[in-house]
Amino acid sequence: MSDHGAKRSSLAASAQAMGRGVQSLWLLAALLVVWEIAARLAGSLFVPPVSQIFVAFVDTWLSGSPSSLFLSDQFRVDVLPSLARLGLGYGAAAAIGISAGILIGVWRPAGAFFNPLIRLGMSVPVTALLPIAIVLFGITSGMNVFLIALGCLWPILINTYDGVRGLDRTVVTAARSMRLTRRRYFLQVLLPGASPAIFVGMRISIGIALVLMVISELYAATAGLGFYIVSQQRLFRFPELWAAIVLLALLGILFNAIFAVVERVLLRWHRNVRPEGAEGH
Amino acid sequence: MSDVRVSHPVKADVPAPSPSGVPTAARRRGPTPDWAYGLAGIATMFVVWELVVRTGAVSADSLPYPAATMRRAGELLVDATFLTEVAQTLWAWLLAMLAASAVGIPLGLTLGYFSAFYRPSSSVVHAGRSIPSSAFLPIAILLFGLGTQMKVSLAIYAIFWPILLNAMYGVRDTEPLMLATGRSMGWGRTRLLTRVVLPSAAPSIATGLRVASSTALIVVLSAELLGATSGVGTVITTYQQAQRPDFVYAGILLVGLLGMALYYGFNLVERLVVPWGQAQRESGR
Amino acid sequence: MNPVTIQPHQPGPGTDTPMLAVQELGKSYPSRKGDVLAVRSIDFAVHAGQFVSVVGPSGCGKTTLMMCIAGLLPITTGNVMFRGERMSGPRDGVAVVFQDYSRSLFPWLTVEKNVALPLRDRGLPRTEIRDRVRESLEMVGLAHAAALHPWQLSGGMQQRVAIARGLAVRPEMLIMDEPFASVDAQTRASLEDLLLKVWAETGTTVLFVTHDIDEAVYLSDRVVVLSQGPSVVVEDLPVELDRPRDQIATKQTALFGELRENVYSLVMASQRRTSLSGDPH
Ligand SMILES: Nc1ncnc2c1ncn2[C@@H]1O[C@H](COP(=O)(O)OP(=O)(O)OP(=O)(O)O)[C@@H](O)[C@H]1O
Ligand SMILES: [Mg+2]
Repeated sequence: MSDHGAKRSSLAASAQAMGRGVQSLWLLAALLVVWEIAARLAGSLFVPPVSQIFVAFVDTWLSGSPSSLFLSDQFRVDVLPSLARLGLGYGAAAAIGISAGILIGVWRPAGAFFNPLIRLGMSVPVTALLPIAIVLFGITSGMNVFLIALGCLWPILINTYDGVRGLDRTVVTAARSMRLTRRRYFLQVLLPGASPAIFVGMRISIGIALVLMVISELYAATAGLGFYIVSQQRLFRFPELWAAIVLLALLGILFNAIFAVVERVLLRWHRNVRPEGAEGH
Repeated sequence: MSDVRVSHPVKADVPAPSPSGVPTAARRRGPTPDWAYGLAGIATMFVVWELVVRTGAVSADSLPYPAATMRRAGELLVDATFLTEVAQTLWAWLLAMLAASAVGIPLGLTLGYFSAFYRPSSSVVHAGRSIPSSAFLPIAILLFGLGTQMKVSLAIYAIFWPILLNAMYGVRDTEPLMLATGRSMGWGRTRLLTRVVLPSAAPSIATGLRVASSTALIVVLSAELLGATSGVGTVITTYQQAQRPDFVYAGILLVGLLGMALYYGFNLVERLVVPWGQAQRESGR
Repeated sequence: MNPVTIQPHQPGPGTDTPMLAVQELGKSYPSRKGDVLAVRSIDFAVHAGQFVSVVGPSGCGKTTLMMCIAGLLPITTGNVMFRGERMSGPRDGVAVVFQDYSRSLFPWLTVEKNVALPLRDRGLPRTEIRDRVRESLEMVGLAHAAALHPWQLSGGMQQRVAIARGLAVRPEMLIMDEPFASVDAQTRASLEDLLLKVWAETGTTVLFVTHDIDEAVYLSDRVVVLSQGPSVVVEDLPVELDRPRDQIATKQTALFGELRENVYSLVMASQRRTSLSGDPH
């Protein structure tokens, strides 16, 4: 469509955006108010009112100096190691999952060879491997990274495989008729064609990565958000515990938002070719 | 040079992905059928496993021999206590699935159907599902103790969101043309709902349930490993503390098979109940 | 071997090897209940510079035949000879325009990059590629759309991009499979005239597959009529209409009406004798 109308009035546009914000956030706000009131009335020790959680959140995570972006020492001690494990595990899963998924998607015998092993591997609930991971790695970050990587591997691998296998036949035939070199076929046909599916896998995995990061740190760690949550529970400091949960939620929202942006930029063509939008999961 | 060009021979003989499993030229004429490769894959895994232990690359204290693991798996399968614990796990899984769908599906349908609710509720859903369920474990233990109730409530939290979200999307994505067709035939709200909206949302709902099914198992198991007093997870922990890796691995193998059984069972039911959801199922393989 | 052959087409008299010779070509698809015969036995030849159409009822095996000729499907029986050489796969010098334009263009590439793709990795200098892309886009009147993505174009424009992509390699032979089947009548007429113009300018040999009898007669030097599938050649009909042709004037001539009726009755007759085998000659 034309761009002329878009910049008609930035004032009207921002008013509209604000309206949309109110429209989409009023329910969330209302639920938080209900929580506040219910928690005050019930006086539960375990579920403190929102206001207390908010105070604890600011005290725990945002009490740092401006030079450190207001992030507190606690943030450095517990959040950064968690994020590092998450990044390493997720990165390894993406690297292995995408390359292996492409390999078994392109080379049929490899696909048939690994098929039963992959089915078994993805069926084992990753957390069941916690005891083994502890034996293999001890209580080290390697254990957390291993678990995160393994949990994220399967969705990325399977979706990449599906993306490669599901490449439009016409697209593949057209590419064949042009006799592209292997490299060019890979970079300009196979990879972009499979990328929507790869992204689906990577988006599913980021949620799994967070869950596994927390679980593995609850199970055994000497620092990290999961570790922090357990220690606050032992100390009966529930506002602080909930503040950690809120931080996790914010991380989750942040990761999803990053994904949405990257996807919008890289997969603009996909959105436009098939505007049906929302995927199943 | 023309010899660097490839004509992607893999695809050449396999013109159609042949979803119905119709044997294609490659599969029929080709020297090795798929299942043979699959068997070779499994065999290779066992050989590598055996070699890794035998050569001492990994000590037998942490990784048992495959034969021993298989034997222990056989023993566990006829062990009444083990089976009871499996039943405990499945029971928690089932309760969570039932409770989450009983609330999630109708709520999702409603929120998706009335556009006034859609936007505000989706921001709540996105906030809710961004919290990793595992973070609630310490609180859940305090609130609900170490029994089934704790496992179930944790699992419900984890699977409520995908079920709800998929029901919402399913209704939202109803083909407008189909709705228009229904209206042109003079159908009222109720008929549109039962004849158009529900059937077209069904595949998406099924996808949500399938995702939920494996997530619920993972969460229940995690709760068992991290504190609960019943279920397969506790058995595995016990054997680990008793330094019996052979039983630990056998237990994990059986849990894997259980996960696989749930997955395929689910696919089968889905195929029978929502046969028109083929396309979506394909992509979720 | 010179990757892209830029020879002008050979003049007809003097050479008796046709550019393309299809000899007793048969193709069957394997299926669970034995092989399904799609093409029984096809014989015809195309000489350099000719415009030859293949018509036949829907499902008679036109796409199959075209894919076999282009080397994109393995042949079951018979031979396809290109300049006297047996074709055993896709080759340079033969470009294909597919029936389903919306899927044969790569949605993740711009129009320009789509057209340039078959020219890459062939030792052509960048400037040469750029010039050829511009030239072929100009030929189809789409120079202004170079930076757009296929999904930003109308169906007719997309099909013109597909044609431009075929022309960019300066093919000796252009194979087109019902290229205008899914565009509206006016667009179709203008695309037909565009194709005739480009054909006259470049001297490329064209093998044009269609189920539209008017279109086949209007465009071609010869029309090869196929039977109901599994197909055989029913008739190989010369079309001696004057060139340049005109959508109104040509179609009003008596000869056009005669040819069209002729082809029509051949197609109908072959449909009535559906399951009768054998050569109708
Ligand atoms: N990949 C395939 N596997 C099995 N059979 C096929 C395959 N492709 C085509 N066929 C069969 O071969 C026959 C010819 O198909 P083809 O697509 O070549 O026809 P067509 O003349 O191009 O039809 P249309 O005019 O509709 O495009 C049909 O009976 C079809 O069912
Ligand atoms: Mg066809």
